[in-house]
This record gives sequence, C-alpha cells and structure tokens, in this order.
Amino acid sequence: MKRSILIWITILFIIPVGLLLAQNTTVTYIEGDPRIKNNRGTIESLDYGAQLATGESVITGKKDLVELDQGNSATIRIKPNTVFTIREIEQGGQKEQVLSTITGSVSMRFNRLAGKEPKIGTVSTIAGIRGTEVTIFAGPDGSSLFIVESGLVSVSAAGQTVELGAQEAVEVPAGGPPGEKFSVIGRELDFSTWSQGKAEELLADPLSSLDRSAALLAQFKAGLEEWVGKYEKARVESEAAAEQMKSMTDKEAQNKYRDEVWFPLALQTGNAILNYRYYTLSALSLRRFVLGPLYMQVRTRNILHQDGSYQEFMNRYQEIIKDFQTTFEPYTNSTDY
Amino acid sequence: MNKKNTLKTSTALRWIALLLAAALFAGCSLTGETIRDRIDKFITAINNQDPQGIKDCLDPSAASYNTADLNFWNHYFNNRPYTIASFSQSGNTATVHFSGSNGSDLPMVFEMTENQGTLLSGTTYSIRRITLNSQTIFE
Repeated sequence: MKRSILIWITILFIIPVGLLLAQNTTVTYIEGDPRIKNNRGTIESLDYGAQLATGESVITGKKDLVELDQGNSATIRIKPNTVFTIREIEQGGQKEQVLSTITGSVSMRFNRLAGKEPKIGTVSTIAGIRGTEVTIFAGPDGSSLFIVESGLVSVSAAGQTVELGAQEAVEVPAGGPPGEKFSVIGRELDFSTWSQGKAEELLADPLSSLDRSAALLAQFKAGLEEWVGKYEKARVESEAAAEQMKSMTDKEAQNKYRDEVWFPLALQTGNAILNYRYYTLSALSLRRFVLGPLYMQVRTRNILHQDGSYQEFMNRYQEIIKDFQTTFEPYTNSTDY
Repeated sequence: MNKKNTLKTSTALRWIALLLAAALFAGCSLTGETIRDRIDKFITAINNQDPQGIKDCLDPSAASYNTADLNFWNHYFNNRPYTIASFSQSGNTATVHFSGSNGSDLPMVFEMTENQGTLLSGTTYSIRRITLNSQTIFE
C-alpha cells in the first residue's frame, strides 16, 4: 500500500516542492499582475499578504513575479509564465503539503533548521531535498529540469533515482526516467532559454512529445484501473452490508453491525474512490497543461501548411484524447472543470 | 401630517442605523453562520445530490477536497434523505447523529475551520475533517 502510494506520487502530475507539515503560505512580494485560481475555479488578482490554501494556484504572466513564505521554513519564488499549486498528499500515513509547479519556473530556499525535510518534483517526478536551494523548470512538453544550488536532492521518476549534489542538475522527460546528471558550474541556465529550447524540440518532434505524454497517461491509467478494481470489489461487499444493516429492526444490533461490519467495508470503499480519483485528476491536469497547449501550438504553427506529419500528429492526438475520454472522463464530474 | 410622518421615518432610520452600528461594533455579524448552519447545508446538499453544494461546505485545504466526489459521499450516506437527530458542539468540533430514511443512526464528528469574514459577511465555517467510529473518512 505504502509502496503503491509512493509510485503514484512519482508518476503523478505533481511538482512537489516542499513536503512540509501544513503551514500557512503567505504572499510576501508581488510584481506585475499575477492571478490566483481559487478552489471555486474562479481566477482573481493575487493580493499582497494573501494566504494560499491547498488546491489554489498562482498564475504568473510574462512580467509577473511572486514570492511566498512559509513562516521561517521556506521561501518560494514564482517566476514569470508559471502555474504553481499547493496540494496535499498522504505519505507514510501522514498528510503532507505539496507545493506543485504545473508549468514554468520556481526557485525555493528551504531552512534546514525548520524541521521536516521537504520534497520537490515535476510533472513526472518527485524528489527529496536535503538541502537549501533548488530551482525547478517545468517545460511546455511536460519535461522538467532540477538545478541544485546547495544541499542534496534525490530525484525519482519512472522507477529510477538520481542523486544531485550542489551545482548539479538533471533533466527528466515526461513519462521517462531522469537523464544523466550534469554540472552547472560556470553555466547559466535561465528558464526562458530552456523553455524555448523545449518548445522548439517539442515542435520539431511533436509526435515524440505526444508519445511521452501518452506514456504518462498509460501510467495513470494503470493506477486508475488498479483502484477501480479494488473499489468495485469493496463496493459490492459494502453495499451488501449496508442492505443487511437496513433490514435490521433491533437498533442496538443495527448499530453494532454498523460499527463492526459495515463501517470497515465502507472505509475501504471510500479510500479506493479517493485513490482512483487522484489518478483521474492527475490525468486531467496532464491533458490541460501539457496536451492542450501542445495541440494548440502545433495547430497554430501549421495553420497554413498541413503535411503528412501534421496529419499523423492530429490522428495520434485524437487517439489519445479518445482514450482519455473513455478511460478517465467517466470518473470526472462537473466540479473538476 | 406629512411633516410628522417624515419626522417619524427619519427617527426610525436613525435608530436602525444606530443599532446596526452597535451590532457591528460589538463584533456581531449580519450574515454570519453557526457550525450547525453549515452542517445543515452540508446534509441538505447530500440529500439533494448537489456536488457543488457539498464542495462549498468543505475546507479547500483538506487533502480530499477535490478527490471526494458525489460517489464518495453517497457511499457513506447511503440511506438518504438524512435529518439531524442530535447535535452537540464543543469549540469548533461538532458531534452529529444523522438519522437515515429508515431511522438508522449515523454518528459523525465534524472538525470545522472558522473563516473570519468581514464585518458584513461575518464568520463562516467549513468542514476540515470528518470522523466516523474514530476513523477519519475525510480530511
């Protein structure tokens, strides 16, 4: 169970930045006109001093910059053209806050003395931090780049782990394992250059980008199917117990049956629902933040010239979307959109 | 006659304004809610099968805020409609016994987040954690 939770997190569409115990995250600096997408799905201007709740996203435009503080534990700098979200996950039986970058670039400085060691990640990756300063770039193709300025970072994706020390970096493609780590001493890496490079790579070979996203969706699908299977089994037993409970006329016996038989089964079913929904929402994020923009870029670039490879891309894209609709959409609802 | 009525209206309006100001100054809210109000809204949303209404009652900082869908809630509240049979409160924690359509008892403990509003909107509450039989079902 614990292992499978770790695997999900690894493959999920999350960029965990700081696995800190629930802390207030406060906006301490703003440049430009950044936005906040709140949990009701509305987008509003982000104000200085605002508190970010779990599930809310900060969205920066090309001239925006936002700095967040988590007390004395962490400082998070959200750079232009970034979507940054706070989530919470369960790991090792404990709820932990996860700061997730969907796209763009975020730098973080963690205070080693503040207690719990944080974790960071990207679209396809999770990483544990034992150090202080790290920058994450999340590319338009779902790939990511970790650059460690000081401390140690352990980056895991697709079942493989790379340990990074100070002044080291690694790139992780969407759906794939981390690449070879490399030194960043004397090299200046800025997000706009890296992102532009990724966008060019993506557009140079959009089919490969689609395949990487499809690989990630396949991982989500496997997780979804595993938990839907567990859900179906638990549901049948739980519903049978519920019917049995309803038919009981002796209130005392009914309450005893509720506590000893029905409730443990109901809890299993409820947890299975939360688990398969987690995969569903991750797939939805991938579709929104990687596949959607990729489709738009390819379409815009080829509006006047649509050759065979463009058609191949569109066919493959439609195939993936159809698979998404068949696999994941039945588990979404109106409040997810 | 008209002058007399105008005077009366004006005096009444002054009194109303004074009472409102006093209420606001004393920290009373005009539109705030109690924990009981919020749990009433929650169970009404469950009974009405209203997913957005349910979500509106939950604390967005709960880990399962997005993942807990209508199917999840229906699984625990499987004997709808429910009414509140008993309610007790200690601080921001409420112990509620829901009564199902056949009179079955569903006891739950709600830990609530207090949301400070403005003077006009008042305090509101959202559900941060629900336990059943000492086990957490939502947080």
